[in-house]
Amino acid sequence: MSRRSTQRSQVSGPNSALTSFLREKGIDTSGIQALSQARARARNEAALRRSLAAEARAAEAAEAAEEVDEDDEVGESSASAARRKKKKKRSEDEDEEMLDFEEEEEEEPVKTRRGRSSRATTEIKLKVVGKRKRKSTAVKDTESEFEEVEEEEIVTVRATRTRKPTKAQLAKKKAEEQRQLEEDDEFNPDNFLDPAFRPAPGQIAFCADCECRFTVTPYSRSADDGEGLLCHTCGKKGAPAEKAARKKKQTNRTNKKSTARAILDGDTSAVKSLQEICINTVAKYIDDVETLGYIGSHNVDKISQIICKNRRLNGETIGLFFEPAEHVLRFYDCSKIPSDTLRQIGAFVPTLRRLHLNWCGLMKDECLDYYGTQLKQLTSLELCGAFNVTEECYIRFFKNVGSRLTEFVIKDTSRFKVAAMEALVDNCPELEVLRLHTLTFIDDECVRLLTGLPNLKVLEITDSQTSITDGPIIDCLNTFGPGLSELTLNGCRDLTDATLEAIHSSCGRLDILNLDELDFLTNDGISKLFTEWSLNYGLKELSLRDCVNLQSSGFARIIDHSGRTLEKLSINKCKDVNKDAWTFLQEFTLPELETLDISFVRCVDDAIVEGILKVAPELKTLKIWGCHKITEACGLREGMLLVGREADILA
Amino acid sequence: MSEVADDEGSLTLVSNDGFQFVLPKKCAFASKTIRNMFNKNSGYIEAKENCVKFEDMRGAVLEKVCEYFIYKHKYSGYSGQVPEFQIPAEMGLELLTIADFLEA
Repeated sequence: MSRRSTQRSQVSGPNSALTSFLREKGIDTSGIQALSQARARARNEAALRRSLAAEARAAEAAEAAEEVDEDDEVGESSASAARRKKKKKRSEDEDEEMLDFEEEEEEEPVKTRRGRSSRATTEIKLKVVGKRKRKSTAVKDTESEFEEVEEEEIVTVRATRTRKPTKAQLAKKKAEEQRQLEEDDEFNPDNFLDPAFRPAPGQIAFCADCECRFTVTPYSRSADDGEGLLCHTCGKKGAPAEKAARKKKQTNRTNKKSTARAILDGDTSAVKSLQEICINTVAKYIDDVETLGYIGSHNVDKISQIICKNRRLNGETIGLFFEPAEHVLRFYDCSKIPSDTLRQIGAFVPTLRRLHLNWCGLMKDECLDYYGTQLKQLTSLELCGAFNVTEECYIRFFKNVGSRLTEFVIKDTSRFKVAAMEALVDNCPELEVLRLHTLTFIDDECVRLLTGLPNLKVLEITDSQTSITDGPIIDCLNTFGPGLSELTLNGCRDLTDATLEAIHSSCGRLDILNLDELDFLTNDGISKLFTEWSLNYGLKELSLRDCVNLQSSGFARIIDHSGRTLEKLSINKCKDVNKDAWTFLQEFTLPELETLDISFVRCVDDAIVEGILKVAPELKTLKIWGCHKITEACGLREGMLLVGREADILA
Repeated sequence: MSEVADDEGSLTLVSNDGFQFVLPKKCAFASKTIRNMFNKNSGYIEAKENCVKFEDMRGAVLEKVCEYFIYKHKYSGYSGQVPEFQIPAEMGLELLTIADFLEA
């Protein structure tokens, strides 16, 4: 019925000036109209259903109350109620059939079903018709007034019902159930999911829970079953639980995040020591500190580390670390410190023996010259990123320092070339530690010069931009190989098994061997190095990261030779090491092993990790990035760090 | 020397301005220095009197130290989220020196 009326209005309803203008111009608005009508219809049907149900309940309640009054015996009344219910059920079934046949007749069966409440139903229908008119087309004032009156009437009916909850409670409940059933039958997903189903803010609605009248706001919550909205008071009831759940979720996430961060920092203990807490506090307020006073040199170094990490070391704060009698100074990030301030180190701390300056990009020639003349006790210098210092300056520095220098570390510069290297070798014969890290021009010629340093104990050549071949390295190893305790040749990609043979024949005292990213090394070469290497007692640290040719047999030789002594082992990305290696491992013990990196060795799973834990009682850190077979269920020892497990990182 | 220190009962820590703090021994033994003092083999007078007088500690600082002892005792071995131990900024350096001395 109502739908028919809508159709009629579509044909002959009053039009706005815009609509008639558009029609005159031949612009078709039927699509827009259809859309708006569909929307309005959906909204009205929802409203209708709700008000029908409300009305029915009101009528039902009134009826029940009457009957209770009329009948003396309770049993009889309940029996009659049951009869009535049966009747209703039957009529409902009929309704369903009808609905199936003819959708347009939707309203008709409702009318018959309601029987006694027909008056109320018609009223509501009138109201609905009025409403629909307003929504779809323009509406006359009188009509809308009429509608408002109707609305108010309904509201009063509802209001009286809520105020009188005593006698009719049972009947009301039945009606409620009935309504639920009806609504289930009439359930239409399109309507239900339509956002228009929700009344707009500012409208009056009835709470789905306590049934009181309230004004809808954008914050009104919908009821648990999704039918209707809750009033402010009812909505608030569920809020604390919801809030708590959200908070819990959030804290869980932050907990997981902070645990992951702690794992990466290698931080196992939850309670920090008082010294650590104090150091963090001091570092936090470093700008307000006037002088550090005597707090112990290891504490000073820790503060230096923290404020460098936070990038707060500047011309002001660096002054705090200038203690006149200090022997060691380490600054881990000098990128903000001008050359003049760096120069002051030489003036304020002339007793320095070891000086480490990282990222000292602002350092100029005068500064290093000044160190060379002023720091009379300097034996160890580490410069990282001092790209402004020229080669001539290095040569002058080596001449000034001479044989005093025992340790020289230089990183990240393009100005350290053959001439500087020559000066170093000529002037500093006592050199024991030499690390050449990420320098652009370290080539075969430079390396061959190193044969002039017979006392060398530690040699590191990492990531040179020019190629370094076996020949000069073998020459070096033949010269100072027997005394060498650490050899690092990371990223010298042109080295082959010949280097390994030289190591095998000469390096008897070697403790630390790092051969990262040497992808020309073969499995046979590595196996040979560790087979019958009686000259060497056993390595303490071995890193073969990215030596992609390593296989299980080579790994077995390594364990066979150095298993007893290894403290740190990395076979990161040696993807061909398979399960055989781990089976082999079970027959050994690794009594000293503390750090093991088996990242990206894809075959590693929970069982292998547990097997490793069995044979390595001292293992403290296990890195397993990219070993996706390792799960949360993997049994770990207490106090052990497992770094890189997917399950820990993915929240 | 073997570590023989009875961690039952309580002890008293006294600051240079006369404040006294009584706390369980097992809390105070978070400090290695105090634990060594109470080592029976070393025969310190402090061990007999159950009282340690710190001549270079103000009451306020010693209070913070005691707070830390309790904090540490409460949260060590606790697996949940441990709240941060708050130190007033101006006390940081002084407390650092003392923490260094106490080996806490």
